[in-house]
Amino acid sequence: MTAIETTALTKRYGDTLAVDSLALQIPSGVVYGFLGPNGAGKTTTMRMLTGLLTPSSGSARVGGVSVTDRDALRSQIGYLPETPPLYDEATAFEQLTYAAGLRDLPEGPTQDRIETLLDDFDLLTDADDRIDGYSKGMRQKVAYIQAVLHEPPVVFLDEPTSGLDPRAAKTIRQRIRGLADDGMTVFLSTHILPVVEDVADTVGILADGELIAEDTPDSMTQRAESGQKQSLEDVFLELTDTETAAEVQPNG
Amino acid sequence: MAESGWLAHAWQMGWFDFKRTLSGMWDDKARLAMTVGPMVFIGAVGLALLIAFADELQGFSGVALTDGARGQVAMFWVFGVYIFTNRLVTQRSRVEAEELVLTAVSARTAAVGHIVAETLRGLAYFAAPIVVLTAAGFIIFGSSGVFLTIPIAALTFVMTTIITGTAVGYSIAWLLTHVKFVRRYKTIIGGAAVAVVMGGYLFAVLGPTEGMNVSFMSWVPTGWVLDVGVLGVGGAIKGSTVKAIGSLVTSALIIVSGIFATERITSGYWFSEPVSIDDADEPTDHSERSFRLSPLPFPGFISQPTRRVSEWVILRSIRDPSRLSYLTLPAVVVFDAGFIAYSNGALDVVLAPVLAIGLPWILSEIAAMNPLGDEGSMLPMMAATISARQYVHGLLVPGLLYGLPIAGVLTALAGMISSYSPMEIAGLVGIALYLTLVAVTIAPALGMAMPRFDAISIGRSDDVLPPRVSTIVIHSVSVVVPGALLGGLLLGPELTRTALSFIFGGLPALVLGLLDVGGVSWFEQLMNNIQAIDVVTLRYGLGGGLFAGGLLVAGICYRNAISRFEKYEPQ
Repeated sequence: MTAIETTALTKRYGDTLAVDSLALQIPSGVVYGFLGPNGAGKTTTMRMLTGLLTPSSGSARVGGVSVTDRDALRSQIGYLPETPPLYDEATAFEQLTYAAGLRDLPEGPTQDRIETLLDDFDLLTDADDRIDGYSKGMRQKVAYIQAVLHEPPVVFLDEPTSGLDPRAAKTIRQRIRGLADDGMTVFLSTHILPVVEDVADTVGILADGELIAEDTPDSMTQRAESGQKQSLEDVFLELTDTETAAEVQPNG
Repeated sequence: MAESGWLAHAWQMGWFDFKRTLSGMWDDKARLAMTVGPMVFIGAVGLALLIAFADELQGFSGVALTDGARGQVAMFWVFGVYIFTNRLVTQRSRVEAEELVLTAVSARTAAVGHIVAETLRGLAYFAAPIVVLTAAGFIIFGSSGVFLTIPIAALTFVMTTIITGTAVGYSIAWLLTHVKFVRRYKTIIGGAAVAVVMGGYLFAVLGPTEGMNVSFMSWVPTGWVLDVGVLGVGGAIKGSTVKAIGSLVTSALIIVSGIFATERITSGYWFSEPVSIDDADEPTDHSERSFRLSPLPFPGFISQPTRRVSEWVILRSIRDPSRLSYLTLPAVVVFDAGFIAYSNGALDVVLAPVLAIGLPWILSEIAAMNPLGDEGSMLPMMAATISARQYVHGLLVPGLLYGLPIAGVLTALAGMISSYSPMEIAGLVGIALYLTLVAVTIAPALGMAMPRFDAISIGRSDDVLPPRVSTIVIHSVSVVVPGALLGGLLLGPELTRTALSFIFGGLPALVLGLLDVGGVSWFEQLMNNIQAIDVVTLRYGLGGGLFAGGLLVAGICYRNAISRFEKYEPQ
């Protein structure tokens, strides 16, 4: 089953083309690594796929639901934006209870799940402290739990390991892989390429609003003509450097 | 210790900050009109009067400054200090782009940069009246000295007000973050302090106590700026040269000592961690935690998502009351007006109508005057999580569930101690309930139509701010004006008819007559026509129209709020 499907998805801001005729077909239960330089249109794409931005043209369906149908879309998605969406005046426990309440999750089992997740991320002892005293990494962990708390079919993660220490980042990577193994689709946008190499099933690279490459990490890093293995970082830099790309292209 | 060239750096910071304010206001024309408009209006009216009475004013002389006038200015200075203190504590106690500023310049530079920016904003705000006053001085007294003395008086007045307000504000901010007791009970302490300060101020200005007038404040040197201002009029208005010199010396002392004090306070405030008020014995079972998230009970038929929004609206106001600080001043004014009415033995007449109008206003302002801005970084998640209808219902429920009975019961109790008839009391209660319903329902739409996000896009972009002034003004006018009209139609229809005929007919006729332009007779006829309307017709016609119109507007606003949230797109 296709979890995310876009057809000629386009977003314009006046004369600026932010996303240009994006076509994606992402099956369920995979981690899709979404890469691109700053200003490539990644956040705009994620906002369109989460229903926060209306496309200028084209269409998109997430979990079989059109992204223009916000009411139906809500139950299909979880979203962790780049800035953790948290209330400073709340404690972590209150924040997560609040988020669960907004989604109308049953209170008893949800409380247990919140405690389990907080414990998994070493946050249980701090769960009753206010978020305004949290470090960046602690905020990121709470926001991550908030995004996956209701076990949505598709979860959008924008820089989920940003600000995390190596141990916490590893936990998140393992969790992301675990989500996909459990059948959830993860749309992962990050600049930390080793994370993508580690967990993604498919990688898409966006530049100037266009999808310029899409493949598995292994295929992408394997140079067909020479058989020489490159890192994903090398491939990314090569593909998104317009001058290099122009030089490489004519020679194949 | 300040770096070399700190004064130049502070000037650069202040000027840059001021330019950002100008640019922000230029981009937000409604805010510009609301902020600058009244001052430009005052300046324009002053200029018009100056032109109209230029001949009569020329040669005006032989007046001496009184202690009452100096006291008035000193009281105005105290009020200005309060305003700037409040502004600093609630909005500007931390440095914008703090990590950049405090690693680049000294605390003194940052503090003086703030003072420079605030002074420039203050001078820009009062520019029109200052220019008109200076022009008036020159036209009336024919002395070019006013071009020096009036701007100097204005500058010293603005600077001493801002520097004192800044020093006091940072002291309060330090107390709020570094003294556990104050931090824990800041809502109660802050409310009490504002009530005492503003109540005392208004009582001194308006109070009926025999012998109490503002001349007792004439010993305060900041009121002597009047003597500085009149130095340039060539003796036409007699001031005290000694007091003028005293004013300048005092101003210099305030500026120097204020900067020194501010540097010391901010060094302690910006570079230290606030004390924690987290409880040592945190609750660990679910029911206790849930109770903390649910400060007030809500009936079971309200869906969980709606209930959560309602709970959070209340909890947020309790935990971060600074976003509601703009309500303190009008609340204190109403309280003090009630106190003065009590002193004059008129409380039984005033209290019930004031509560019938004031309670709906304040109860509706608490929940939803800036709902999108209040969400801060949570807004995208909210839009992706909850339906618009549930969200808007969540904003309305506290005001309707708790606001309606509070407004109704308190108005009824006030009516019982009044001399109004049972029918009049019932009418006042009806007005209170109706106004609460309308005021609560229109608030989210107005707040969403004019959301206020942090204007500063660097450093602290997710801060939560109080609503826009324009939103508050429009909402207040939408509630108070119809409320006052309904109250007037209920309790004094003849007086209301006279007031309406004057506002719509007599006043325009008077102004047009003064300006000697046409249209006077048309407005006079309108005044007569309004006066000729039968009281019963006016009461039920206008009253019924206001009732029906208010409900219609509330319905439209309710739908509009849902539509705005549904269509919300992050910028």
